[in-house]
Amino acid sequence: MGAKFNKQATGQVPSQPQLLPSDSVTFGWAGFFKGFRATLTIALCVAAYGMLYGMLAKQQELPFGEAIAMSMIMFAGAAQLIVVKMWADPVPLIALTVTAFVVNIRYVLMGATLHPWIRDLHPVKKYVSMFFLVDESWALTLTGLKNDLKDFAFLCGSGFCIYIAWALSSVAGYVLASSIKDPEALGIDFAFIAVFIALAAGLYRTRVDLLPWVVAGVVAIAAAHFIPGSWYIIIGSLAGSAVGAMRHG
Amino acid sequence: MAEGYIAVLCMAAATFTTRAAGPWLLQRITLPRYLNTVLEYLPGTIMISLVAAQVSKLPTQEWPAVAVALLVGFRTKNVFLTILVGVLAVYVIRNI
Repeated sequence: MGAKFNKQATGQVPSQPQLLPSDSVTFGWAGFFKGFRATLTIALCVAAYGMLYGMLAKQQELPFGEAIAMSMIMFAGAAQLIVVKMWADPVPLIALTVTAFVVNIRYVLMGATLHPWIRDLHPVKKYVSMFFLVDESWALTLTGLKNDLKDFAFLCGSGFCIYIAWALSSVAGYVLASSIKDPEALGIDFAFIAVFIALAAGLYRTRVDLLPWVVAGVVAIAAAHFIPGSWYIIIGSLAGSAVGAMRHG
Repeated sequence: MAEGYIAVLCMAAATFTTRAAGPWLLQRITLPRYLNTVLEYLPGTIMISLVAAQVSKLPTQEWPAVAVALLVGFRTKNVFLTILVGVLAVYVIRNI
């Protein structure tokens, strides 16, 4: 993957080589529906751990309104599963907010990786799209953009598909919490890992990724072991990426 | 009882900030070449960090399910198949 020189909107060639796509993205309903359809399978798995969230919320005695509002306004699976266990009376507002921010900090990196394509996208379209940024929709969109996807509304459709699955399954899990005795026996929690394995496979770019990925994996496991919270994601990913980038000189 | 909703709003705001920050910052800052390359590697390394840490928390007897999911995932690149096979494998391991 070589560096490309591109004329910026002002007509000037940048002074350093930048890895930029040569076309800007479009944004329309076609992309939206394409993203929606592409995410249906994954949405089913998201529904599986959405139910886990709903059940957990009920167990932790969150009121129904707050539990579902979290799924619909915050819309962040991993973070929700973590903060729900912190719920208490009175609500620890600052601890919850800080935790939510830290757990989701990987979104900063993910959003950054999309920048080359959406630099010139209208801010409203850009930031509305960012609401639909979750791990799965991001991975699918990025893989698409690197291949032949041109319509960035794909992210919205993909995220919206997950949004519906997440909201509905949160409700279902909450309502059914007392009925399902042992979700873990069914292997439902493994759906979370399986989804990410599948997404990782899609992001793999031949041998060039092997060493960075091994480094990232090892560092992430070590960091997860020693440092509480979700810092391991940032630490592992930056370590692996640093190693990968170093080889280019 | 409103404080629960206030907490949800605050967390939602914090979350959206993380989602918007990447594009917002890069619009204003030009990265040096090295960091641009780091950005190139990030998608894969983020994903693998997530996977690796989650997998390391699984009991060892469930690792065959991970191996199977990895095999199917990288061979077929088919999301549905990977999930199906993986969950089935875990179900088998846990119930036999």
